[in-house]
This record gives sequence, structure tokens and C-alpha cells, in this order.
Amino acid sequence: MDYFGQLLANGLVLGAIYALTAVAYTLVYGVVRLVNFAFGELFMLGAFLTISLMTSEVQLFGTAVAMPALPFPVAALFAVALTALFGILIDYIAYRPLRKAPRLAPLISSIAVSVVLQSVAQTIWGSEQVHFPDFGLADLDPIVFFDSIYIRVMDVVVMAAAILAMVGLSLFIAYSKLGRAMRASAEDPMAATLLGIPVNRAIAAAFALGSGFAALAGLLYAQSYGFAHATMGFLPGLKALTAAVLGGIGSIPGAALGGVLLGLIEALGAGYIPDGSAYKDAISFAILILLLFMRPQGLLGRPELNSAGAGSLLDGVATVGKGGMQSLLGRLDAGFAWLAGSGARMKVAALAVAIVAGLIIPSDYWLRILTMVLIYGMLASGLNVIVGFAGLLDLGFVAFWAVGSYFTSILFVLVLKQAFGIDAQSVWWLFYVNLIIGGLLSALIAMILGTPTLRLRGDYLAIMTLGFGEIVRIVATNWIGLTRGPMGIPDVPAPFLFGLQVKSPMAFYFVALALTAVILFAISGLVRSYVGRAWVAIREDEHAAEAMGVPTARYKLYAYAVSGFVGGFVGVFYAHYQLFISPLNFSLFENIVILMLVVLGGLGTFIGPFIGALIWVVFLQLALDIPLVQSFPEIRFALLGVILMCLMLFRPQGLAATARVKLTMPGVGMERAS
Amino acid sequence: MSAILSTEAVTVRFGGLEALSAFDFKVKNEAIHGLIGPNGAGKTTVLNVLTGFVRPTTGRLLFAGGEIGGLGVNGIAAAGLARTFQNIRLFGSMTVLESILVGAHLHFHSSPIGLIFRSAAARRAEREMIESAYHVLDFVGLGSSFAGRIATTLSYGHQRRVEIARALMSKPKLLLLDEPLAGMNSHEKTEIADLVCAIRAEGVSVLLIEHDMQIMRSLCDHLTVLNYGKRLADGKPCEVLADPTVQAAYLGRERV
Amino acid sequence: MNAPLTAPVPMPLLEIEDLHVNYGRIRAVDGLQMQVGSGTIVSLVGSNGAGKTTSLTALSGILPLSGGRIRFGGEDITHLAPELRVRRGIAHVPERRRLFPGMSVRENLVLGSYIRHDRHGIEQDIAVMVELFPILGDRFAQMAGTLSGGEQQMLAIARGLMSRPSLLVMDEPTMGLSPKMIDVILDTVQRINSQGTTVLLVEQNAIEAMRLSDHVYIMRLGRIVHQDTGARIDPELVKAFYMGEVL
Ligand SMILES: Nc1ncnc2c1ncn2[C@@H]1O[C@H](COP(=O)(O)OP(=O)(O)OP(=O)(O)O)[C@@H](O)[C@H]1O
Ligand SMILES: Nc1ncnc2c1ncn2[C@@H]1O[C@H](COP(=O)(O)OP(=O)(O)OP(=O)(O)O)[C@@H](O)[C@H]1O
Ligand SMILES: [Mg+2]
Ligand SMILES: [Mg+2]
Repeated sequence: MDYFGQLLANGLVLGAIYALTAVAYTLVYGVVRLVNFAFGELFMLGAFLTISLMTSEVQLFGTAVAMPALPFPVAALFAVALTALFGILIDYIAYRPLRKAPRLAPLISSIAVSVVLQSVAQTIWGSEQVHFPDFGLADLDPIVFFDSIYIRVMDVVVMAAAILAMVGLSLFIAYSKLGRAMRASAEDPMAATLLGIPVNRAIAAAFALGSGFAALAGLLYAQSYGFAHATMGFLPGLKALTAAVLGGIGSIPGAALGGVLLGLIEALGAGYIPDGSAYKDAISFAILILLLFMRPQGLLGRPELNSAGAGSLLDGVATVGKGGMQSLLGRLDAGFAWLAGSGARMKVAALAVAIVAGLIIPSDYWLRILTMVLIYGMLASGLNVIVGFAGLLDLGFVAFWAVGSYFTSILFVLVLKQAFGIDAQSVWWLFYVNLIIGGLLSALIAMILGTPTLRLRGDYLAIMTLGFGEIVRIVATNWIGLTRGPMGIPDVPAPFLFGLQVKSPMAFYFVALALTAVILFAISGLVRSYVGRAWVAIREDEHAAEAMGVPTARYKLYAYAVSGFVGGFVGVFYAHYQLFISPLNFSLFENIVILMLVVLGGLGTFIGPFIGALIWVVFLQLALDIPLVQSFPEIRFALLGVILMCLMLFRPQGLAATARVKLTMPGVGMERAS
Repeated sequence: MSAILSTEAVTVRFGGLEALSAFDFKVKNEAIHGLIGPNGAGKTTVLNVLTGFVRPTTGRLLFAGGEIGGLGVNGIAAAGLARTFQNIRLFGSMTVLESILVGAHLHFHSSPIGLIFRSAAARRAEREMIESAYHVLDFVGLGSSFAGRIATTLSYGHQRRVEIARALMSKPKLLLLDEPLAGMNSHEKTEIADLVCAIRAEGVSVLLIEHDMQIMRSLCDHLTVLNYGKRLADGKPCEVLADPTVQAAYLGRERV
Repeated sequence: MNAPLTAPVPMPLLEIEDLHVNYGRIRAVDGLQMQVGSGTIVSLVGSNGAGKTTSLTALSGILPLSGGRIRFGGEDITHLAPELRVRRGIAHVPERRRLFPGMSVRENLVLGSYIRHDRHGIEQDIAVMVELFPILGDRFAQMAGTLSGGEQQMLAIARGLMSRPSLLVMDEPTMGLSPKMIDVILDTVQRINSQGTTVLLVEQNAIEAMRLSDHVYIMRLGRIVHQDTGARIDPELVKAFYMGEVL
């Protein structure tokens, strides 16, 4: 009982903090239908600002700076207000220009903002933990309940603040004029404008409020744990997002409930379940998945909102770019359109260029980079099937990749070599068989994981699949017996071709190129047929597709299967190329990177994923040569974030968006079209 | 002529509201059957029940001799019912040709392997469907010049035609049209009315919801009037429209 | 061109000069000229795709112009933000209604009066709307997205009226309404017009529109091809324009 009581109390405090952050997500989601990943970083900012304002001297950019040493409440107030202003600024720079862009563009932009803020914070405050200063309230003796449950006075303050803030906010949103205007702007910005509502201002207000809430949560969190750190916002941010979805995204009481539930589950899970702290995140995600399965709209969400975030991920204005950029982009567009329009000859030419490139590029360094481009391009193509064509925002795609990699590595290293002493060379053909089996295995898992998501829409689906991805990663990390956990699996053999080992970068490049050709051939065969049309129809209007006789559930599963197959297929090759795999290769970040490549290049195009991969991989390498990056390595991601943001601002629908894929079989019945 | 469609005591409740109360009616084979009634009477709800979008609280639906109540939306489409939507629902970012090919989804059977390797059978199926898509485009009065346009950027009236074309592509036995004439001028209305006649001439039965009585009077073989979820009148257009209760509930001045 | 373009308009409230609107390469509105006299009802008719909706959307400031000027009440509003145009007194009931589907009927009405601050007057006007469209009163708490098509249309019109505009712009207000409701709407248009509201109407039912209007513009391929006072226009001519026999 005492133990339970104490866990309960801890869970409530944690829950209150999650709830506050969840409110930020829900609020902004409710107004712009955007999952603003940057709230995790605003959370961190709130903590750092408070600490900086409370001390008399801080280290900024490595030099000491005098500070006002304000008392805690005043410092907290300032921090919240500053962060709120900052939130408005972020909205102005990174999201407002994307208001009419496809729905995924601001999502990517928010990831970029988050990456930038994190590396900037690291540059300013350093990458060490910063201690949270002591102050009067925190030093009081804890209150004791039932003789054995200790609750600190600050914890009571945390809970009180959370309750107060949330009740106030709910009333504000439901009954105030501005609150109503915010909801109206969310439902239909154009209609809201036609009624005289200044939509941009309403949205800015939502960002200010949300950012303030995130900052409040962050500073309370830092106070609770006694420190702040540049990456401290990531996990709580993810948890809060989960909580918001759990409660029904868009609903403020829902966010509060979701936050508290999640806090309790975590505290109790860690306390009672054997190995609980290792698996506690997996447990929260498992519960999330279970709950969403039973209630697709979240605990307190309205069913109608479930369909928000459905519909086209690609919708948006067709014309962007200004002045001089316009003509440049216009030429680019025309190029891509021409590329997409010119049939089989073009493909042969592209392949020829790729082959010649492989033969004449003398540098191993560049061949390795190109091989990475192909690998990421293939992965992004696989994800493109489900996100770009079928319109299901899958954030758990890395799991399929991981399954393929682990399958072949475990088979070759842990089973064949270590248990039976069989040498890779004697079963060289197994690699090729594994490509297929790994693909099929992943496809099967994708269909199994896809089944509970069938009733879900848009962002709910994103969060559920994210949960699956995280569970797979957590299992891979902690199930040491199967995967060797964080140690990873070393010495995966390189593939052989008839007794010759694929060793040189050039050989790997050509294997990757061959696999790419196979993947693209298969995907384009499916997409440019009635299957692809059914997928796109589901993406655009699921109900209408169903009414046309498309069995939408079955076709969604097909999309999962194809996407899973590609993930597993590439995963097998990846393991034999890297020669070493560990759970780190398959993090959520990787998943987001792959998604970003697709969006960057152009959702629903064949060439887009490769263009995205080219930009990403090449930039990551080139940036290492910039002197600034060499002295501040964190800046690399900040630069990347900025570039990403710029690309999104100028090309919200992706660089190759005009290379729109035709959904009819090439060369069939096109005589009359022109 | 036998009935292709009949409902038996269909009731639909939304919370406390009874949108349909023990509604039954029959659509005869190869007929143009009109469904009229005041706004909010439950006409669209009838269509939603027939196509599986809304599950009836009680009642039975019989189509072409079989029960279709439990088939689900795509099962009902496969049984031979196709519809258009009162609020146009076209697939954004798809061309007109691609959109209406989705309507033909039920008639594609090629295997995935056949598609990937573009087998002769798969190519033939695709070619036949594209041919028939162009035919249907001509038939609804759009012509092949619209085939490559993105469907949602057409004007309202043209989008309606695309919707009808998409529904026709499934080769339905019964076509359900929800206010296909809304937003059209008198000239275009007669064009669509002629189109509906031509559709019936091809052997397809049509259930039509529409508020333009001039057109309905001449177009329909049979009219059913709904009011507050109940059947108010049923019969030949001239009889129904002369019925004083119908006039009071539905028709305004000088339109009778 | 067989009609003079210099129409006698009493003190124009709205003047549109040489309006151009493009969607990419498509010229949807191509040199539109029109004037709406204060206190009149003006109709804009034309076949599908003529550019009527595009013109109205540009007038409200939602679509960017590629050329032309718009003057309202003597003021140049060409570059005015859309929400400020509403404050100047323009209310637009858009095509496809654009209600807030997840909000109740009442909230939709209240939002219609966003630019007003007289709480009492707003409540009174809501009561007036319910009197006009009794079914909305029965559905007060229902989500607008679940209303029937005609009910939604009524709500859209009522929401537009809630701002007490000086210029009411309506894009096919009778679409989806029963004959009886069409009478109600057209009577309402006439009544609010007699109370001083200027009305710009896009209507497919040209005969009804002409009966109601002081002035009729016929649009085709993005331009005005004919205009006259409502009473003088020849229905046969209108029909001919629709069918594309005259240009
Ligand atoms: N999901 C729902 N929840 C609550 N009420 C609903 C729902 N769907 C429809 N209704 C109500 O049921 C009634 C019937 O609606 P329906 O759409 O069938 O009318 P209709 O006859 O098609 O009218 P219209 O001619 O205006 O299109 C309406 O009053 C509508 O408000
Ligand atoms: N978003 C868009 N992108 C490209 N073209 C468009 C877009 N919207 C409309 N158009 C084109 O602009 C032209 C004018 O369309 P508009 O909707 O203004 O016509 P309308 O007169 O309102 O017709 P209707 O009576 O059918 O509503 C049409 O040719 C249409 O195809
Ligand atoms: Mg209806
Ligand atoms: Mg229009």
C-alpha cells in the first residue's frame, strides 16, 4: 500500500507535467491540424530560461554572463512569456508561409525547427546538464500522507498549476470569442476569413498559448528532476504527444486525462513489472495502441475529428515561388514533368547514367555516398507507397527495415556461424533468398501491425504506427537473448556472388543499383494500375472510394505489405552492407528522416525519394568539411534544419512534385489523351 | 416490370431524431424513380442507407432479389448499386480519366504479378477500361479533352458530370443520383435530364433526388414523396404533384 | 457585342474594373467589368465554368488578382485583407456553403456575427434567423456537418446575414433547396434589399434572378458579354448565351 501510494503520487506529478505539454500539442493541433514537434524544444527552452533568470551568472557560448537572479515565480513567469513570444515567432517564420501547403510540409518544417532549436540550445548552453538552482519553496519539508507517502511542496504546486491552467484554458476555448475564432479557423480557414476572423492572428494566439504551456511544463519538469539539458524535451515531448492522442487530440480535457493516465501507467509499470523500467516506454505505447484500437478517436475525442487529418496529404496550392525563383523553379518543374511524361526510354537512360556513374567515379568515398543514397532512396520509395500513394502517415516504417536486418543477421551470425559453424561463403545464395524471405517476413509483420490501424485516420494512425516502431526498437534493445541488445550484431558477412565476395564500394554500388531497379520496377507496376488508383482514391476520399467498390481495408493492408516488403528487402541488404547492426540504426529519428526524404522529394512520385536522399546524404557528408561545423558539430543539424525549412517554404509540395505519377498503365490506350 | 429495389420498414435514428420512420418503397426495373421532399425530409438518408453508409436501426433492404443490408459499402457497390454525392466527392489530385477508372475498380481482376510484369491480360483489361472510360466521358458530355484535367479544378457543373461518369463506370444495375441538377442552369439541366434518359435506355434503373419539379414531372416514371422521414405520397408524377398535401408540404407558389 | 456597356447605375457601391484572375495558366476571369448600385439587386449569370465563383472569391480577397481594381463605397479595396473587407460591410455566402462542420448550428450563427460587438443585437438576430428558417431552431445543437444539404444551405445564408452587411454576396443561394424554401430565400433577399442591403447574386435560375434583379450581367469565358436591367433582358437571349450560340 505504501509503495503503491508513493508510486501513485509520483505518477500524478509526472502526469501533470505530461498533461501540460499535451495541452500544447492539442491546442495547436486543434487550430492548425499540425503536430508541432517543436514543443519538446520549447519545453526545454522554458527550463533553460528559468534557470538562467534565477541565477546570478550563467555560461552562454562558453563565457560567463551576469544574470538578474530573480526569484523562482518571477523567473518562471518571464520564461513562460518569453517562450510564448518565441512560439509566435516560430509560427511566423516556419509555419505561416506553409498555411496553404500540403499537410505534411509544416510537419516536416516543425521537425526542422525542433532540430535547429536543439542544436542552438546545445551551442548556447553547452551539452552538459545544467543544475536547477535551489529556492525556498523547493527546500520545504515534504508533506507526509499516511505516514509513508512523501509529496514535496513543489509537487503540490505542480499539480495545482496544471489543474488551474487546464480548467482556465478549456473555458477560454469553449466560450471566449477568441477561442471560438480559433476553432473556426481550424475547421475552415477560408470560411473563417470570410466572416472577418483574422485567421493568422487566431493561430498565432494558439501558438503563444501552446508555447507558454510547454515552457511551464518544461520548467516544472526541470525543477522536479533538478537539471536541464538540451535534449531533455525530446522524450517528454513524445510522451505528451502520445498523451494528447490518447485523450483524443483536439480535446483539452482529453489531453489532461491522457497525460495523467500516462504518468500513472509509467510510474506503476516501472514499479511493479519485472524489468519494468526498461520496458516502461513500450508499456505506455502498448496501452496507447490498445486504447486506440478500441476507441479510434481517443478517450474524449469526438468521432468527427477522427476524420480530420484524413484526406489528402498532398492538397495545396499549385503555384508557389516568387519572382526570379519562379522562372528557375518553373524550368525545374517543366524538367520534372517532362521526366515523368517521357516513358520507357527515359528509364533506360536513367539506368545508363547510373551505371556509367558507377564505372567512372574513381573515388570510393563518393561511391559509398551514392550507395547510401540508393539505400535511403529505396527505403523512402517503400515508405512512399504507404504515405505518398495510400495516404497513411506511417511513422513506424523503420520497424520493417529493422526486421529485415535483424532477420538476416541473426540467421547468418548467431544461428549459422555461431551455433552451427557454417561459413557464409558456403551458403552464399542464402543472401538472395533472404532478400525475399526478409521482405515477406516484414510484409507479414506490416500486415499484422496494420490491421489494428485500419479504422484510424490521419494523425491517430501516425501515432499508433510510431508506437509500433518504438516497441520494436525497445524490444530489439532489451531482448538481449535474441538481438544482443545495444551491443548489436557484428561481423555480418558481406554478400557473395558465385564465390566472389562483394567487397569493393563499386561492387556494392552495383548491387544496390540492381536492387533499386527491381524495387522501382515492382512498385511502378503496381502503382500504375488499378491498385495504385485504388490507393490514391483511398488517400483522397476513403468513403467515396469504398462506394466505388474498392475494399479499402484490404487495399490499405496491401499498401502496408508492399511497404513492409521493401523495408525488409532493403534491410537485408543494409545489414550485409554495413556488416554491423544495432538498435541505434532504427531509431524514430531515422524514421522521420526517411519520411522527410519523401516529402522533400515529392510525395507520390517515383523520383522524389531519390532526390530527397541525394540532398540529405550528400549534405550530411559535405557539411563535415565546413570549418564552422568542424568546431561546432551540433551545427550540422541546425544547418540541415534551416535548409530543410527553406526547401519547404519554396517547394512545399516537394522538389519533384510535378513528376506526378500517371496512374494508368504506360503505353496503354493513351492514343486519345493527347 | 418487377421491382429491382425495395425497402421494408426501414427506420433510421440519429440520437433522438428519427430521420426515417418505417419507410418502404419499391423501384421498378428500368424505371426512373424520383424521390422528392422538403429539405431535411430524409432523402439523402435513404441513399445512405441503400449504399451502406448508414446502418438502418431496423428494416430490410432487398436489391435484385437479395438482401444487401449486411454487405458493407463496397459489397453493395459490387452488387450493382452506384451513387453520386450531394456534396460532390471527387478524388483530389487525380485526373478525370483516373478518377473515373476508379469507378471501374470492380471489373479489374489482374494478379499483382501480372501487373508488375504487365502481362498481356493485364494490358488488355486496362486498355478495354480506358476505351470504355473515353466512351463514358463522351456519353456524359465531357469529351476526351477533359480526360487529363485534375478533376477537382473543374467547375462545379463539370464535376457533377465526372461524378456521374465515375458511377457509370462500375456498370451498375441501379444508379442513385443525389441532386445531380443542383447548380446548373436550365439548359444544362435539360442536358443532364437527357443523359438520365439515355442511361435508362441502356437498361440501368435510376433513383433520382431532385428539387426541380418541371424536370422531375417530365423525367420520372414514378415519384415518391418523403416528409419528416415518412412516405407522404407515391405514384405517377402528375398525380403526386397534384396532391394538395404534397403541395402544402413541399411546393411553393406558382410552381405547381 | 450588341449591347452598350455604359449602363445607367445610380451611385455605385461596388465597382469592378478590368478584373483578371488566373489559376496557373488558366485565365478564369479575363477583364471583368461590373458595377453594383447602392441599394440594388444585381445578378451575375452564366454557364458552368464561366468564372462567376472565381470573380466573387476574388472580390472577397481570397484569391489573388492578376490585374484590375475593386472599389467599394468609394474606397479602393483592391489590396485590402479579406477579413477587413468583411468589416467594411461585405458578406459572402460562398459556393459549397463552407460551414464549420464540427461546430453546432448556434455556434455557426454566432461566428457569423464575429465583427459585431452588440451582444444583445446578436441574440435578437439569431432569433430572427430561427424565425426565418424554423428547422434551424430545431437543430440548434446539431453539428453543422450532419445537417441535410438544404439545411446547410439555409444555415450558410443565415450565417452570412448575421454580420448585417451592406453588400451581401451570394453564390448560388438556392442550390439544393426545395421549391418552397427557394421562395423563402428569394423573398428574404427582396426584403433585406428593401431594408437597404445591396445584393450581388450568382444564380443559375436565370429567370428567377431576372425577375428579382435591378440589373443582370451575363458572363461567359471570364468576361461580361451582355448586361441590361432585369426587366428589359430577353429570356430567349439569355438562353442563347447559355447555349453558346451568341458571343
Ligand atoms: N449524422 C446525423 N446526426 C444527426 N442528424 C442527422 C444526421 N444525418 C442527418 N441528420 C438529420 O436527418 C434529417 C434528414 O437528412 P437528409 O440529409 O436525409 O435530408 P434530405 O431529405 O436529403 O434533405 P435535403 O433536401 O436538404 O438534402 C435532417 O434533418 C438532418 O439534420
Ligand atoms: N482551383 C482551380 N484550379 C484551376 N482551374 C480552376 C480552379 N477553380 C476553377 N478553375 C477553372 O476556372 C474556370 C472558372 O471556374 P468557376 O468555378 O469560377 O466557374 P463558375 O462560373 O462558378 O461555374 P459553376 O456555375 O459551374 O459554378 C473554370 O474553367 C474552371 O475549370
Ligand atoms: Mg439531401
Ligand atoms: Mg460556381
